[in-house]
Amino acid sequence: MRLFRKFHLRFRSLFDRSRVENDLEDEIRDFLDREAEQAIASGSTPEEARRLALTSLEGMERLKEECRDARGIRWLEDTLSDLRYAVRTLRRTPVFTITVIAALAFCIGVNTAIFSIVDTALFQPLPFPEQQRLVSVTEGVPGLGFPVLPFSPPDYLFVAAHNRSFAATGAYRTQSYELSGVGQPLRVKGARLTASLFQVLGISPTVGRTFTQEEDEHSKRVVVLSGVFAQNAFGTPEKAVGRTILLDRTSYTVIGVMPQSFMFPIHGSRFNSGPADVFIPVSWSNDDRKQTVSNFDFSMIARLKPDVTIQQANAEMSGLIQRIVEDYLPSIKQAFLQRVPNFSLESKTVPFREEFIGDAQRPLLILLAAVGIVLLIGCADVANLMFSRMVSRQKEFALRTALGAGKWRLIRQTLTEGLVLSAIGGAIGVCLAFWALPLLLRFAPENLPRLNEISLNSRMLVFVSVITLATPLFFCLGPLINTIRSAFVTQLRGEGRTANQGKHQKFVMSAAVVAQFSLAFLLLTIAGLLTRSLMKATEANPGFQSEHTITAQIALPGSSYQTRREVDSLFNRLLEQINAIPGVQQAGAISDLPMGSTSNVIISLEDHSTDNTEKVDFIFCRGSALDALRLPLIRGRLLQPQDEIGQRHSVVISETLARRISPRGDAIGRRLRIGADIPGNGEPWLTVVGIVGDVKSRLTDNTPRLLMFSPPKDWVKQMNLIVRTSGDPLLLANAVQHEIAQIDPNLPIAKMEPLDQILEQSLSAERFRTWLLICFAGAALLLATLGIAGLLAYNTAQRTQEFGVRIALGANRRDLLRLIFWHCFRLSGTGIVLGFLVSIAATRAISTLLYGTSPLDPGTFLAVPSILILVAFGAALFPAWRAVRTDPITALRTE
Amino acid sequence: MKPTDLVQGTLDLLILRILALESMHGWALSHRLKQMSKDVLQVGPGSLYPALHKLEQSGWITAEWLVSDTKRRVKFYSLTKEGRKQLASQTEDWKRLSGAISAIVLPT
Repeated sequence: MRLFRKFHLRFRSLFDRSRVENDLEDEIRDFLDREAEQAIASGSTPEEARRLALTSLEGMERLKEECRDARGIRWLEDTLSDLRYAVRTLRRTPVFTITVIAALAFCIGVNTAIFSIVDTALFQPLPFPEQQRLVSVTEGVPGLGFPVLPFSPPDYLFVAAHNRSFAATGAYRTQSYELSGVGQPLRVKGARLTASLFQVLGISPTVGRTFTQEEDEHSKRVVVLSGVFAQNAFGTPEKAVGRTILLDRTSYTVIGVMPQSFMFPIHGSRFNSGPADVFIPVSWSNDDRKQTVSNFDFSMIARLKPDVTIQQANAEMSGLIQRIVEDYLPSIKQAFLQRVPNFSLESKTVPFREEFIGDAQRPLLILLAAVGIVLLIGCADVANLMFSRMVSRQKEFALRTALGAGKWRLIRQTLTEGLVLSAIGGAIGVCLAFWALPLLLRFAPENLPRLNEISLNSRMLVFVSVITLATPLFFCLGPLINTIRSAFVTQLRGEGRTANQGKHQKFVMSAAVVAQFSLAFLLLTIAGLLTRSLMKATEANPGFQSEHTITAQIALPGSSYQTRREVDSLFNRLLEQINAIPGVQQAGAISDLPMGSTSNVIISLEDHSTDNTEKVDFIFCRGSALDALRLPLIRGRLLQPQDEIGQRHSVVISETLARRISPRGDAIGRRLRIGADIPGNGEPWLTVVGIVGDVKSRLTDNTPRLLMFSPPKDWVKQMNLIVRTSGDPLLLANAVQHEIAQIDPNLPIAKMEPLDQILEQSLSAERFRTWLLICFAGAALLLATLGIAGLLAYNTAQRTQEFGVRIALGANRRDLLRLIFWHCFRLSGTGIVLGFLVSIAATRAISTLLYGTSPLDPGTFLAVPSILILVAFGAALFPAWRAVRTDPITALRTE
Repeated sequence: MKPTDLVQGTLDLLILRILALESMHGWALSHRLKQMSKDVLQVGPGSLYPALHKLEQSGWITAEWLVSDTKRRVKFYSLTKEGRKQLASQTEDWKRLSGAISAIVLPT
């Protein structure tokens, strides 16, 4: 009841103001009447009585104001009137308003879009219950050059059984499968998981169930589908359960479907490809469970017990992993300690997030900082525009002060105007972000963490609200100080009219322009450095020739191609047919594309001439793959067809590897094998028959890969076709596809694309951030130009009389021009010098992102100031033109 | 004595106390105050009306418009239930406060 009454009163005061005011009027009149009546009764004349009554009020208006204050909605009323006033004044200066809103909308929009990307990639909580307790555990063999590796099955099983830190542990790896039995055969992303992984993540299926430990251990053919995949393939999750699908031509029964939101592994994970469509039991064989120091393929995730910290878990795991080495067979341990100095296993436990953030963090934070700087430059623009407006309104403010407006009231007025501007800018900015985000994502690099989850969400709205509220504080700061410090009385007397603006105010405005120039300098420098680095990377020689070559991925399902002969015959026939296509120069197949991911293996030499083992990339080839890639042969010979038959174990190695294993002599004829040189290593010895030129692992990486090419093993069933053609390779794509279908119509073909496209895509992350920074730097340059042009124009307008006097006293136009340009260069010059100093210090932060370019690249550090000086010169032209055209008579007459 | 000389919040207490006896309009209230305090307390409309409006907003008193015998619209204030509670608690406070002050200022 009471609440209702109070609300009713407030509501009435707000929306039925005239009635409330009338009531107040009536009440006071009633009092006056009664006072007067009483006075008349005690003998006063009516006039006298009236006067006495009025005196007792001690000021009618003051009384009314105080009664209004008592209503408790004063602040709201004031805000509303401030708002109305702000909108009215802003509408009176449309050019100013539109400029400011456009600048703010742009800045807020870009900030919002970039924030959405960075926030999802780096900060947003993962969609798992109590995700902060999820950790990623890795092991590593630093002595062999592998500080961080996924787990091998026996090591995982050991720590899973013996740890006391984790409530649950799980392991998984992604693997691609041929899916058939539902529509067209195609390749799907799959993940092999331990049954416990679903419990670790804490997500249950929407329909059906997940597999059990039993089913995992007994290699039962069961599969759980992702929600999205079940929807696409079967319509509804319910329809999927109980169905049978063929994975690599082995039948699996669908037992459950995960929720649509379940996307695992996280996009951008360091050892695994993105979210899987099918989840099948990991089903380690007995060999898998025993083989030590190999098969480091399974990523481990664990859930911390409630009272255990990451540090404690890390310490426990480091201890546990030592015990694994102690349990090795003595012979193996001995051999390791002999061959590998300081051999040891290590383990690291880190927050799950680090599994996929990795190298992406720094470039993303730099992007966020860059858009933040653009926003600051924009704010400085708006601040100066507000400032010059404020000066022209000083008389108005003075008048309002004289009429009784408090200082705080004026400050509120200024802030409200700022808020109205930034709110409209923010609203348009959000629309801009809605439009720009999909565009940005189209160009985003494939390995951006959680790329698939990025969207405009509530966190982004909070972010927009925060910057929309914070921005006016920035750009109103100067004007506010001015409002507080202004000598209103002087202004009103008229003395302030032609007097130069205060020193202080001039300083703040100039400082804003100087800051803009130095920040623009910084952004331009970073954009310049990234551009040069990208150009260098594009020009870099990858070590092979990518033109006129098409690639396609084919993977033979194990159940249909079991024996070596079946695999060999398929590939031989296929390559033969493709070679026969007119226009094909060479055709081959290779297990890993030059820019693709590779397996890191260690090799050991037969005669331990070099002590250490080497970490190499082991690549299997068929046909004329090396020739088709145009790898330059340096010594010896390439692999030949007869190397693929029988037991001739030949390898071709890359130049740097050759130098590494035979620093002085000739590497040809040396024998080496996969794995450390320990008892139980059953790998055959391989003879080096040829040396080819080095190949880069990434265009932006200067260290060449150590490569070893050998004829295929029988377990290698996934290969990339490499077809070199004489013309446009895409013209032959259909022909190649046709040949594959001729031989096995069920074989799906994945990723058929020209090799130069793959090469180009390998730079997508660099290209993405470089283009974005170029855009931001361009925007910064534009805003800074606007800033200095605005200030100069304003200044010239302020000094019209001065110029008139100067001209009247005989100054010629050249002197005036010198005045203006000197002012312009003083401002921009200071900004450039400051920006130069800031950039020298700041570019070190991006040195890891640069390829073949020094963070102090002289070209960039020369070009940027030149651009800025040119721009400043251009900005000064218009004000200069106006100053020169000053007519002394008119100028003086306005005095 | 001017209202500014009153102890902070005392005017509210006085108004609540008087309205507890009977509902009345502002002018009558100011006269009743003067009369009951034997002309010591003279609260002018400049203090009285804002105080009344504040009490009304707080929900301790409520107002209704009546038409008097002289056909004038008159705003009558009366105490609400919360107002009565408030009066009781403020009276307790006042007793404690005045007792404490008396004990210091008027030692026996």
